[in-house]
Amino acid sequence: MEVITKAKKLEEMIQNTPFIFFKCRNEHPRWPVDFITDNISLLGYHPDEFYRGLLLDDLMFEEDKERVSKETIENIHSGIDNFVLEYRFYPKRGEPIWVEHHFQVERDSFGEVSMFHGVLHDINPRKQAEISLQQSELKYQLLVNNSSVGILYIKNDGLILDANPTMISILGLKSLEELKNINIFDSQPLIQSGISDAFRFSLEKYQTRTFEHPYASKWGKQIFLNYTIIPIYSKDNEFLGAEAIVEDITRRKLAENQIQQSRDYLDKIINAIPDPIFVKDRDHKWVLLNDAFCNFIGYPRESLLGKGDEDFFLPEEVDIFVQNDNLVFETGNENLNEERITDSQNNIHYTLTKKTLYIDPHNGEKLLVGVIRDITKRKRIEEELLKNERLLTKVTESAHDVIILIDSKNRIIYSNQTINRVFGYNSDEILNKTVFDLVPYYDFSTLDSIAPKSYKSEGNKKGGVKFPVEITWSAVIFDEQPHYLGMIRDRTEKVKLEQMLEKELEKLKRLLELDSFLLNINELDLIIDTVLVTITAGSGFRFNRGFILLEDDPSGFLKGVSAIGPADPGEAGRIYHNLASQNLSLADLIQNHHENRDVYDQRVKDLVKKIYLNPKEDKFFNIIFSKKIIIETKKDNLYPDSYIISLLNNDDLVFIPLIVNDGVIGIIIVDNYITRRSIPDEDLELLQLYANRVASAVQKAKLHKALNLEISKTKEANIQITQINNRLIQTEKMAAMGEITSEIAHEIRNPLVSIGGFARALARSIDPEDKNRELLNIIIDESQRLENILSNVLSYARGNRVIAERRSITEAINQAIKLLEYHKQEKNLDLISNFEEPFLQDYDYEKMIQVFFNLIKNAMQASEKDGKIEISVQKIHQRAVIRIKDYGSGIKTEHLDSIFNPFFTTKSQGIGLGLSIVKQIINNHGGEINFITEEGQGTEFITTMALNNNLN
Amino acid sequence: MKSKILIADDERNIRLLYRTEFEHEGYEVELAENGMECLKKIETFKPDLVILDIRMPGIDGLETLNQILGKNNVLPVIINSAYSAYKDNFMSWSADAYIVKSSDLTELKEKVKELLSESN
Repeated sequence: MEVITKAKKLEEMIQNTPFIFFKCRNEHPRWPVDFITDNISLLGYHPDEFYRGLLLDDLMFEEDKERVSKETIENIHSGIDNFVLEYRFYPKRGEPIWVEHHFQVERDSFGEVSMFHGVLHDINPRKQAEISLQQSELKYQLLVNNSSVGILYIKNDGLILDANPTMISILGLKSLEELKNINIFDSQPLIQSGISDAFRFSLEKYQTRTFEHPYASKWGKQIFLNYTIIPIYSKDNEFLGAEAIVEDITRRKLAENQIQQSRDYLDKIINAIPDPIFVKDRDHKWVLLNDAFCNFIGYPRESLLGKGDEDFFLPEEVDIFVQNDNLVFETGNENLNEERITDSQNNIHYTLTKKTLYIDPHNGEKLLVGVIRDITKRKRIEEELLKNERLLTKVTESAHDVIILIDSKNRIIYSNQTINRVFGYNSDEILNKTVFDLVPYYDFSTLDSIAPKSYKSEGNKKGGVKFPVEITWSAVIFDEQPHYLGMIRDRTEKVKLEQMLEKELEKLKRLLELDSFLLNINELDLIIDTVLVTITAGSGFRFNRGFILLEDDPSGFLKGVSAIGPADPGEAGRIYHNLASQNLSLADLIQNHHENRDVYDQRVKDLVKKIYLNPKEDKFFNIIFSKKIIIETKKDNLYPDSYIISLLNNDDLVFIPLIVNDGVIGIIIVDNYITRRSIPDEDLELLQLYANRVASAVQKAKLHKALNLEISKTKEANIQITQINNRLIQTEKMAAMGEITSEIAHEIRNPLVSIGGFARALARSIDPEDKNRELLNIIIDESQRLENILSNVLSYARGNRVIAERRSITEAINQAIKLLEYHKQEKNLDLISNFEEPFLQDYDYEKMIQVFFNLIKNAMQASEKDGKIEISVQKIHQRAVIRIKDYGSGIKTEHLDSIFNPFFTTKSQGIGLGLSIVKQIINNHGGEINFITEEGQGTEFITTMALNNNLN
Repeated sequence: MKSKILIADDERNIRLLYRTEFEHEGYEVELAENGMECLKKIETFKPDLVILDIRMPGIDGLETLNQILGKNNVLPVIINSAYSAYKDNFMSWSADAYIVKSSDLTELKEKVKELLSESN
């Protein structure tokens, strides 16, 4: 049941395909149909027709029958059971169609064919296409063969495969065989190297290539061939070969040559024309140029053709060219223009260019033909002329002198513009005047034609004002008539200058005169007096009052130094009267003033001495100091502090800086307090010059003073050095002596010990009542004294070594006091110790005992009987301060410098080493000793020592 | 038994003074003129104490002291010199006492007595 359904389904599916299935059984020689699918209806039949006896063989196209049965039998005999055959088949209606017949043979147990299955398929459309393709190939072949161009097929290795008959005939060959199998890479006379090159190019670049080359055919006929090589590629871009299309262009070539020849002829003619000629296209590019044009522009033709004006000329020039070109292109009218061209060497040319429109009769292209005429030379000459004329006009018009041309009747026929400025007439007015309206009469007949005449005279201005002039006349010929050329120079300024110069000279002379008083004065007071008198004297600057402020060293303050002038009008009257009656010279006045400097003008001097200020902090004076300028209070509207104004009782003052080496060292103040006379500018100028001289003199005096001071200081220092030197020599002598003494002292000690020792031994054995006992005691005492002296000498000579211990300094002091107990009692002295809380310090105990022993002993010796000695110890800033004070005789002034010197002594006893040893020991401790003394009042020795001392 | 003192000094008068004074003090005294003799007499005389001058011809007192110490470091030695400068010489530190020469022999005598009583 299920099987049937499946078969049915299969049948349904087959029905819907274009494949027709059938089965035939072998009833030799016939093959009746056993089964056929319904879709046989596709060919117009009904299956029943076959079941009723219609055979498939009957429907086969007659022409194919024999081929099909033959191939079928062959296949079956060969044992092939599956094969396909194509043949034509008659449908129910219409022309036979192509079918594809798939055979499958079924054999019986003897190997005989019992049945075959078949599938028919309509392949008519494909078959038709194949046929039409065959036909078109045929047609193509026909076309190739009959083509007017030669065609050549070349394989990728260069072997010629085929050629059409035209090709054969172009090359003048008899048959294709002569060409076939030639390799184009082999050198063949038939195929020129051009082909192989083009072929190679196609091979490499995948591009079509066209070229021309001449070819001499077999019979010597010269022909031109045009080759086009077209590469042929497979679908995979593999280079298969190339098709070469070859055209005989001999005729065209000949025509071209002819044209070229006539063109060359034309070129020759154009190039022979000396005027530059150009032809431009509508884009203003040059298409034709003659040699003259190329020379004119300065470039070879190759670099010009195809280019335009904008490639060679300045943009502003090009704009004009293009404008003119367009005019021609648009209107078609001829255009003639002056143009300016800058060539490659930057030379400027002026041209007259004629531009005409030409329309090519063949293609209607608009071309512009231009002919250039170089008019540079002409233009240059014109310009030169114009320039000369302009120059001449400029020169005459801008001349400082008046230039006039006069005819024989004394009329002014030309004058330059200067006349307007000098005489006040304009050039029109002047033409109605004669020359003698301007200058006094002159007899022109005295002029010769060679030498001009010059003289000084007077000019007459319009309006009658006279002024100094210098006139030069020369005779000239103008328009063939005698004329006179006059040059009149205005001397007004020159005369003014001469006068000014004279005045300046006068001023200079005066300055020199005033300056002469300052010469050779080194004394500041005298300079100041001289300046003050010069400022106020009638033969000087004639100011009423003068004040001098100078910079105070080293504060830099400005200090009132001195002044001159009356304190009030009353005093002024008396002074002026007095002076007038005496009629003194400036030198006398200065002398007089200086001699009475402590008497004269005390009131103004007192005033000025109140001035003491810092110019850097004073706004007004700071201006003078920084700008170094004169200030006239009224004129400059700049006033000093009201303190100054009220002090001087005047606000109309002039401040003049004293300047040396760019620095202000003082100020002179002047005024006309009494007369209120205003100050002329030139006086002020002179005053400034004078002030500069004064400043130098003041500076010189100051330096002089400083120098003298230095010299005296040096002298003093020299004396001091000599003194110190002498003392040093003395000290050295003493030290040397000390060393010798020390050596001797040692040598003395041994005999001394013997003497003293034996004396003691003797004394022991003598009766105390014996008179000799006293004598022995003298030996004992004296030898003891000598020993003491030796001890002092030796401990001075002993080295500087300090053996420090850390203990209280009072221990050493107490020890020293203990040793001196005897002396204390002898004089019944009061020893007052005032020690602070004990403190520790580093010091050499033995040595410091010696120090205090000496100091206290000195104090005791200096004290009177029942005197007082004060000893104090204080700790001040980590230092021990020990004072030992007596109220004794004090130290004489002349001894003050020497008390610490070795071997200095004022005492009848001792050798004077005491204080020098003291000083040496204290110095070795890094401390110091000083003293305060007054004769008859006593002495205090102050010893200062550091508490912490790395002395070892 | 008397204590024995050896005194070395190149000055004859000093030797004489010292002999007089120390014999007066009740010591047995022997003298030496220089360092070499001093060293010999230490062997022969066998002193209980030596008083040694420093400046002597030949080997000086300090060198002598050095050699004494090398042989016998218990023998008390007093340096007795006219110079106080040798106090700073470390050699002299090894002596039992350093006394500067003086006609007043009190200090020296006291030191001798002190040292001898210590050594006994």
